[in-house]
This record gives sequence, C-alpha cells and structure tokens, in this order.
Amino acid sequence: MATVRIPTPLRKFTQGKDEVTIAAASVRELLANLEATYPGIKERICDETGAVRRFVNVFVADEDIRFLENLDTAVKDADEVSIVPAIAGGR
Amino acid sequence: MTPDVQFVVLGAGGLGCPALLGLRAGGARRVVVVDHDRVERSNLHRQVLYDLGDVGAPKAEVAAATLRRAGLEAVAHPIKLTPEAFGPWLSGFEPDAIIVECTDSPALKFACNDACVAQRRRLVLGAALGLRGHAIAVAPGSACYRCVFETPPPEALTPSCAEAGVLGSAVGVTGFFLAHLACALAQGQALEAVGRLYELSLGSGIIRTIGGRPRSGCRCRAVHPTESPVSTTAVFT
Repeated sequence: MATVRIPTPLRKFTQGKDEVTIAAASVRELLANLEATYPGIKERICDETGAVRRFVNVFVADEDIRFLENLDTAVKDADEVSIVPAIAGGR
Repeated sequence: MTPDVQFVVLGAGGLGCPALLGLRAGGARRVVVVDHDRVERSNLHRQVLYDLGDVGAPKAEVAAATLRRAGLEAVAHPIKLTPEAFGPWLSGFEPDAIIVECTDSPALKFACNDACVAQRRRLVLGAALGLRGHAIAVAPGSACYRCVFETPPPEALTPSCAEAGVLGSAVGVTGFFLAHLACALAQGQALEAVGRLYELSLGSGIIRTIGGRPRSGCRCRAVHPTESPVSTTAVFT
C-alpha cells in the first residue's frame, strides 16, 4: 500500500494522523479510496469536476503529478504520495 | 558579507520578525520594513522584535528602529498593502532590491509573485502554519510561486493560525530560512535553489524540495518566454 502524507489542515479528517496507508494503482483510485476511508477529505483536495484543486499539489515519489499523468499517474506500493496545499499563515 | 542590496520585507509579524533578524545575521545593511499593523501583547512570543513596551506602536516603526540600533539603515513603511495596488507600489523600489514576502494574505502573496515576475525582481516568499513552513526563492527566468500553486486558496478553505494552530518556533525557523534564501540570492549563491518550494515539516524534521521546473502555461512563461529554467540539480551543496 502507498503511504499518503496528510497536511495539517486535512488531519481533522484522518483523526489527526499525518500519514495513512492506502491501496491504489493510480492517483485517481487513491483519492477515491482515501475518501472511502476518511469521508470528507476528497472535496478539500478535488473540485466538483474531480480535478485536483489549483491551490493543491499532489506528488508521487516527489514528482508533481501535473508533470506526469495527472490523476492517471500510477501509484506503486512503496510510493509515498504527498498532498501539499498552499498555506498562508505567518502573522 | 551580503552585498549592499536593499531588502524589502513585507510583513513584520511572526515570519517577518525572524526574517529581519536573519537578514541582520546575514549581513544585510539596508532594509525596508512594511507593515500597517500595531504590536499586540498576545503575539509577543513569536514576534520577537517587540516587547511589552512596544504594545500599541506601529510594528514597522518599532522593527526599523530596532534594526537601526543594530547599525542597519532601516526604513519603515507603516502602510496597508493591497493586491490591486501592489504592482505600482513595488515599482518604486530599486530594480535590484530583493523582496521578502512575509504577510499572511494569500491574495497578497500571489500579487507579489506576479508583480515580481512582471518587474523581473528577485523574490523570497514564505508561509507557516502549524508545524509546517513553505519557502521559495524566485528570480527572473526561474519557476515562480504560481508554477507550484496556480491560484490562492479561497478563504473558506484556508485555516488561520488560530484555527490550525501555529508554533512560534516553527514560524521562526521558516522566517530565518527566508532570510537565508534572500542573503544567498544577494550573494549569487542560490542559483540552484530558486524556483523550488521548500516544505519544512518541523514535526518530523524533514525538509523537502518541490518543483523547480516552470509549469507550462504559467504566466511567468509569458513574461520570460525565451529564458531557460535554472538548473534543478543539487541545492546548497
């Protein structure tokens, strides 16, 4: 299963876990399975069309999926998948 | 020693204070401090340029005065920046000034990125939330902040520090890291670091670099259509 790194703003959906493991063959399947396990999380990552939101990046093994096959990017068992939203704090 | 470059620091709060101290540590001699806010008692633990005697005073004025006492040429701009007026305002600074973006406004960060790209300015931009920090250095021809994040997050989906929490020391590390990137840019030592987003995961102690390649279709490619992306090999070797 792939390891998915969960950013701070989304940990409320994963009971505070910063890493979860999800079985999937592609990013699209991974996001669907992530939603099945942690309901509500996918809409924070994807818009109503299913595309990854423009202020969120998804990386498979440190490669931006926009430079790969986007949602069809393959995911292997040993892969680490990172979800990285823009943040703005600092005050 | 950092060359005699003008550093324009936007925001003198949790990120800006350590960034200003980091610039001082890095040998900066000329600094402009921009912030419209006033010092609050509740933020003193992480806004480390201020003390109880400064509560209620303009942050930019206090920060600049503190830096002047340390021998820097520091100027305060206690003004409120807006995304709409940002570009024309920025154009008044020296062409080779390095902009250090430390505000907590998503819209302003993107406006700053766009203005710096359009005006061919060097920029260091950062943010921090919880135990996580982001930092990126941008220079003419490099990937920019929009190459990594295409749009600002909507406010409804942007947790504030109050909601998500923030550890003052994590903001401090991120602010100092921004200053380090800015000083390295000034010294011409950060050519391999520009265009990459550094993600500081301060809970796990992991620093990752993201991106580095200009994104096809990004507006920075329209501004610099013929420039080659910078090297994406080793960083800080």
